[in-house]
Amino acid sequence: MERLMQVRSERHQVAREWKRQTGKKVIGVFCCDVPEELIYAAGMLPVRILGSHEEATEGDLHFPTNVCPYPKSCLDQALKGHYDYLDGVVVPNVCDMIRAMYGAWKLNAGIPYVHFLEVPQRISPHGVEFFRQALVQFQGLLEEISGNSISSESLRDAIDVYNRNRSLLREACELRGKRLLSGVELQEMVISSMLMPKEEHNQLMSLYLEEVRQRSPATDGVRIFISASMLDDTDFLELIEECGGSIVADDMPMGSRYFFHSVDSAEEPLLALAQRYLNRIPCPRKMLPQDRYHYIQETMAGFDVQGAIIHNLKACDCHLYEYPYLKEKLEAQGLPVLFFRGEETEAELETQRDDIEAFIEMLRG
Amino acid sequence: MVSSTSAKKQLWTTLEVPALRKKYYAESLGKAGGQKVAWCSNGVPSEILDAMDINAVYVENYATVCASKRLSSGFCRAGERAGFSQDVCGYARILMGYLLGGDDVPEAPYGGLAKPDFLVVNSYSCDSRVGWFATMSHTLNIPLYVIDSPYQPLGGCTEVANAVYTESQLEDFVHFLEQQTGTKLDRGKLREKVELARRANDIQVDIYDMRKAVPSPMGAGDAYTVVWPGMYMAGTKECDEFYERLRAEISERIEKKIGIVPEEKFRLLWSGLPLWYNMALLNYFEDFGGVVSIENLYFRYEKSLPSQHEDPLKDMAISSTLRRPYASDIEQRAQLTLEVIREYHVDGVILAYNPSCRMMYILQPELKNILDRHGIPNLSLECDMADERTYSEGQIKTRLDAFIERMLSRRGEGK
Repeated sequence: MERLMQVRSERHQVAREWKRQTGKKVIGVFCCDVPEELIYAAGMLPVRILGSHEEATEGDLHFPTNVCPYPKSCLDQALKGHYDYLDGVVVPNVCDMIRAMYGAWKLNAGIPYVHFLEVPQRISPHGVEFFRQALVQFQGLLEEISGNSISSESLRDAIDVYNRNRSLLREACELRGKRLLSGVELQEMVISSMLMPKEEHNQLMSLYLEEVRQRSPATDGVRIFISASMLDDTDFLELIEECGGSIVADDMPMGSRYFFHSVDSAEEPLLALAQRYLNRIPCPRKMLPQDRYHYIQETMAGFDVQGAIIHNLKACDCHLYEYPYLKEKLEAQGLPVLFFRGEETEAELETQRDDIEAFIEMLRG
Repeated sequence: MVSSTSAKKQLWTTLEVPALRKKYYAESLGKAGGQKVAWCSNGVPSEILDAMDINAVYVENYATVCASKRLSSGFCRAGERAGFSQDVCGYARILMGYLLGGDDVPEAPYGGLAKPDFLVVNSYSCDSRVGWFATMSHTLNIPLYVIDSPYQPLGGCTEVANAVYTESQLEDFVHFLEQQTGTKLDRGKLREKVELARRANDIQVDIYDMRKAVPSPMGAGDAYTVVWPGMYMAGTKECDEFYERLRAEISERIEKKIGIVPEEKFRLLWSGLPLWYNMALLNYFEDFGGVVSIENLYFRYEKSLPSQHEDPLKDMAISSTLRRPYASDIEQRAQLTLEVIREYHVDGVILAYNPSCRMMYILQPELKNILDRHGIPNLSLECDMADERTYSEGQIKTRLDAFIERMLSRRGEGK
């Protein structure tokens, strides 16, 4: 587990070192909607772009105050030079603020390639075909950047490696539900998988899961389900678990949404990617609330959840509209709900501690 | 606190709009019961709904009506009580407040809206709409149809792929409407509506072009009002004739050199949404010889493409590939803004930072950076377009006064 934690905390050094050792290129991606398999198949390393709790002194010069702090922080990190090793950045059309990253990075970040990946906002067969065409363009660009052509075979291999990773993370998710693994540990596994070569992550995961299976289940801790718009580090989850919560299920882009569904390896590869990435990622921008709620039920099933915590970053429209619906549905099934509108600052975590402690106390009865 | 609300109108034709609007809402309520009612977002083609005899109600417009009647606070509060964050779109909070009600909710303007049978939203330009409509669909327990629009300005896909996808969306939409109403779309009837809408669009493009004239023949106070028929009555003879009269009046004003102020000293561009609860702010500059001579949000840049196909839906899909500056990224928004500044002889820019209109708001600081680099005077005003609780008259006017002084001194220095 230390290695995975190190990958996250030293992610820039890890990527630079990989680049130095392999002589290959590194591509930054935003969100769950970029089919990383294509980047992998082109012989490059996809890395998730993450923000920081640091004050966004540079980001503030380009974006106003009342916006989602996560993308602003990512830009801030780039403007401070932390992402200078990237050879390209992919900005998918997944929300108003991420979309704005396209122009912001293109104009200000000094990275050779900034690509806009079209993603339909509606799940439909026509949408899959449209998205597949966007992937054809994306593939062409990746071939240009890497100098490698992406064959069907290499793409199938990439899909297999990524599906293996998803399957390992799903197993970890089961073990978390059985309380053999903490919420923080799973989050470390998920984030590190977005930052290092997948085959290496697969090897490490196999070893860790072997260890985890030998553990005895934790018996204390109130069983919590968490839904979040974007938590790009483990701080908030650590806080919940420090306060006596035990996270057993989640609905988070840096959690189960990233790995819950696999790519159909029997299908033509680009079509399979289009289908999986458009239809199967339970993001509220594309999926209607009732469908998302079914997904949430699936993630919680069998884990005897006692309470729900919802964390939405401020000004995250997709999640903020859904919140009243989600709250109503969760409460109707007998789950108390605690809501946070997050700003992603260090100071905020301390103010949240009291609320979480009180909530856990209440759940303990 | 807002001291006054309506903008002063200078054109006779503009004065027709309030009556048209009132009639539109009254007819819509009157039809209820006899026709299917669709609550729609902006960008849902009224020509199709009209051709299928569906009563289309554009709820964003209704939110602006509520705001202009100074009712936004009451409605927004009710929306917030139901769990909607103050971060979300002011229009959405107003409508959710209207829907969910409560003791302190104001009386609805025009007697309220016809009760909807289904909802239709176009995904173009912002995420907010789809989330809002999905929520209304749950609250009202009625079907929702999402027309997905590619985010084409950035070329994520080819123009052909964009048009093909858009056509598929319109075809599916028609299919949805046919299911809802039990009647088939008469494509001949739609063709007539599309042709009328195109004519009205082309006249509006002419009008925008005519507004380059000095002195300004029509300021923003009129312009934000006259966009209404084009947005909500497209494809009707009434709309077409309205713009014919408006174009004639503007032409006459240009010929006679009738401006908005007796001696035009500076011209401004209003970038972003206006403050619907205080449109009079657009006239504030006039006492100092200034005029908001152009605004870029509803700008119509391009004339319609000629009909190419027998099927009007195909032509509508291709037309959607025309540029949409405000659904675009910062480079395109900046390029178009600089173009407008040059062609419309603009001296300064008011950048409206409307926090709850994310797609407008998020790009304004970068636009400001670009204007600064080009040496174009600009002023950022942070207040919401609909939620008047965000407006502070004293602070705003102090800043406007300082900006006006700067404009006048530049003029004194011969720029």
